[in-house]
Amino acid sequence: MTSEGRISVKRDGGGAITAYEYEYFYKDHLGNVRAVWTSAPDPLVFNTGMENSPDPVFDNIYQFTSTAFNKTAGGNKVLQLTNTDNVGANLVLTVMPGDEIDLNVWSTYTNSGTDGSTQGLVAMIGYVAGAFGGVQGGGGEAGAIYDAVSEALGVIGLGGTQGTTKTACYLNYIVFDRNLEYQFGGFINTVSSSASTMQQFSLNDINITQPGYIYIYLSNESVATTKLAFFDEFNVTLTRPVIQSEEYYPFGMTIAENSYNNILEAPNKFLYNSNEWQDEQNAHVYDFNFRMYDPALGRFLRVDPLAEITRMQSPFQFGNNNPIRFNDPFGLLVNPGFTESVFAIIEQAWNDTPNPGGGSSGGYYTYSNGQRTSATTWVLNKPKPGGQIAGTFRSNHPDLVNASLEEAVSYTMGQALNSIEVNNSWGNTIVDNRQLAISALASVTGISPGMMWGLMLQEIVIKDTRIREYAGDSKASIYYSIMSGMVSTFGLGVESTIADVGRGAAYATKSGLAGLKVMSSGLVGANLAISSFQFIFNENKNPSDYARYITNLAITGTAFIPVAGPFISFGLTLAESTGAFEGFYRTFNDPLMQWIYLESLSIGGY
Amino acid sequence: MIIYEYLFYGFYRLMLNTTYKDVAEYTAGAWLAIGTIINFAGALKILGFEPHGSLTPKVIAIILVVVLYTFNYYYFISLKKFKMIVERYDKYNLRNRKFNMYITVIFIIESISLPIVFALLEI
Repeated sequence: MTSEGRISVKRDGGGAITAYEYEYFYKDHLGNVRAVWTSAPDPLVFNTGMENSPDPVFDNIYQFTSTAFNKTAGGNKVLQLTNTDNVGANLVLTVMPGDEIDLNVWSTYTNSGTDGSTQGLVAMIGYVAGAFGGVQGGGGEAGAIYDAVSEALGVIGLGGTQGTTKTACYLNYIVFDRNLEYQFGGFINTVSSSASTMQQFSLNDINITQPGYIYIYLSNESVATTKLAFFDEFNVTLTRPVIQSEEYYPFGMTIAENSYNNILEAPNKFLYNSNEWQDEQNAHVYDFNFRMYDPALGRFLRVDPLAEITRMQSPFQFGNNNPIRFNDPFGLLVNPGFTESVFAIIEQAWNDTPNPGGGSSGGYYTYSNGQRTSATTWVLNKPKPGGQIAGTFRSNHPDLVNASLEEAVSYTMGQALNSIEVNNSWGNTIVDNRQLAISALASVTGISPGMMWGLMLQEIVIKDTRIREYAGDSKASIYYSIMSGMVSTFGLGVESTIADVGRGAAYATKSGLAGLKVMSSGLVGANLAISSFQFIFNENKNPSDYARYITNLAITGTAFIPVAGPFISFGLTLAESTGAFEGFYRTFNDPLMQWIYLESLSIGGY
Repeated sequence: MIIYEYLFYGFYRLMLNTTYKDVAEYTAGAWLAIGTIINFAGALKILGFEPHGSLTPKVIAIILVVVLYTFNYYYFISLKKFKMIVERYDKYNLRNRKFNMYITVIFIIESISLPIVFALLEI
C-alpha cells in the first residue's frame, strides 16, 4: 500500500498465492482517490448451456433437446428460437465506465422452406422489449423499457433477411445509460456456414464509457414457422479494470449513486484526502492520522492539535471550510493542494532546465508534448547560473495568444489538474504538461517568476517551521528557518541593487550620475504613486497590502541616504516592481507568520 | 497654480538639502507630482470613483504620473520658470520661508499617511 496504489494478493482455492495484482489510485488535485484501476482484472463470466429453464442468470431459455446441436459437456439441451419465441437467452448487466464485454455463442439453423421474409421493426421492438419486461404504453419501468428499446432499435435497425433458405438469427446488444437513454448497440448474424452444423460466433471489445446497462439477447427475425435457430454455450464475459470509483460531496461524503466497487475485489478504503474510511461498528468517520473526521458534519471530532497556529479558525474546521481549494491530509494544518503542486512543478521545471550559456542571457530548452525539442511551443528560460529568482517564463501557446486572463487561468488550472491526475495514475510523460501549465500561469497571469519563487519559498519555510514546531523543536530553529527564508527572498533585491550600483560607479560620468539620480527619483516616486493608488482603491486590504505600501515608503526613504541613496532606492524599486518581495509580503497573510513577526518584536523579552 | 508653485518651491528647497541638490528642480517636480497624485487618489476615493474595466488603479496612476511629470517638466524646467519662482519666493523673509517649509513637510506627511489613514478608517 502506497500513496500511488496497492498490491493485492491472488490466492487459489487452497489459499496459496498464485499472483500479485497491482492496483493504481487515480487521484484529484487534493489527493482524493477517485478511482482504482487494476493491472489484472478478474473477468466475470456469465454462462448458460441452456440446460436449465428457467436459468438463474438468463431469461427466456426455450429449450430444445438435441444431442447433435448440444455443446455443453454432459448436457443435451439447446436454445431454440422460432417465429414466435424469437428473442431468448437475454441478459441485463449493470456496466461502468472502463468495462469491456465479450460475447460468445454457438449457433446454427435448420434449412427448410423458401420464405425469406422477416419481422417488421415495430413487431420486433415488441418482442425484444417484451423479453426484457417492457410493455408498450405500460407505466413505470415496463413503459420505460419499451420506449428505450424502441429508440435503440430505431437507430440500430434490424438484421433483416439472410436469404430464402437461411434463418435470420442474430447475437445483439444495446447499451443504455442510467436513465435508459440509448448510447450505442450492435449485432452480428449467427448464421452458420452450413445448416444443422453448430458454429461459434463472437462479438468482442464492447467498451463502456458511461455508467448504465447493457441489454444482451439472441434473436430470430424470420417470419416463416420453418425457419428455426439453435444456440448453445452462450458466454458473456465482463472485464472491469476499474475496480472502484468514488465521487464525493465537497466535505467528503461519497455520492453513493455515482460510486461503486467491484464486489469481487477488496474495496480500497483510503479515499478522501487519501485517508482511511472507518466504517466498523457504523463509525462512518475518516482517520486523518492525528484526528478523526466526520464527512457528514464537515468537522473533525476533536480540536486541532495545532489550533494555536490557525487561531482565527474554529479548531474543528476542515480545509478552512473550503474543501474545494484546501485539504488537510494529516488533520494538523490546512494545505493548499493545488498551490503546493504548482510550486513543486516550478521547482522541478527550474531544476530540470540547465544553463549551457552561463551568461546573463543564458540558454534555454523548449518543451513540446513533454519532450525537449527545438519547437517553440513552450519555452522555459533560465538566464542566470545559480540564480534563484531572476528568469522568465513565457508562452506562445496558440490557445492562449488571444485568451483573456480568466480563460488563461482556467486553461492553466485545467491543464495542471488534468496532468496531476494522469501523473498520479500512470506516472508517465504528462509531468511536462504540468511545467507547461506553470509556464502559462506565470506568463499569462502576469505573476512574475520572482513572486512565484517567493511564494514557494514561503511555503517551504512555513511548512518546515510548522513541522519543526509540532515536533517540539526549539523556537531558535523556527526563527532560523523563517529568517533564512526571508533573507533569501530579500537577498534577491540586494543582489540586483549591488549590480546596479556597481555598474553605475564603473561607467557613469558626472552628468550621467545626475541623470541617474533624476531617473532614480522619477522611478522611485512613480512606484510609490502607483502603490499608493492601488492601496487606496484596494477594497479588501490584506496584511500583505499594508506590507507592500510600507515597504514602498521605506524604499522611498532610502532615496535620501547621502551619496548612494538614489542608487540603492533605484535598485530596490526595480526589485520591488518585478515582484521580488511579493513572497515576503504574502508571509504577512499567514497567521503563523504574523505571530512570528509579532513575537520577534518582543524577542528581547525571552 | 500659485499653491502648486508654492509647494514646488518648498520641495525645491528641501531637495537642496539632500543628495539631490545638483538636480533639485527635477526631483522637486517629481516628488511634487507624487504628492499631488496621492492626494488626487484620495479625492477620487472620497468622491466615490470606482475603477472599472481596463481603467484599473495602476493604469490611472501611470497615466497621472506621465501627465504630471511631463507637465512639471515643461512648466517648471524647460522654460526655466523654476528660476523665476525661486527668485520670487527667495525674496520673502525668513519667517515666511520657514512657514513654507512647514507647509511642505506637512504636505509630505499628509500624502504618505493618507492611504494608511484611509485604510484604518475603512474609507
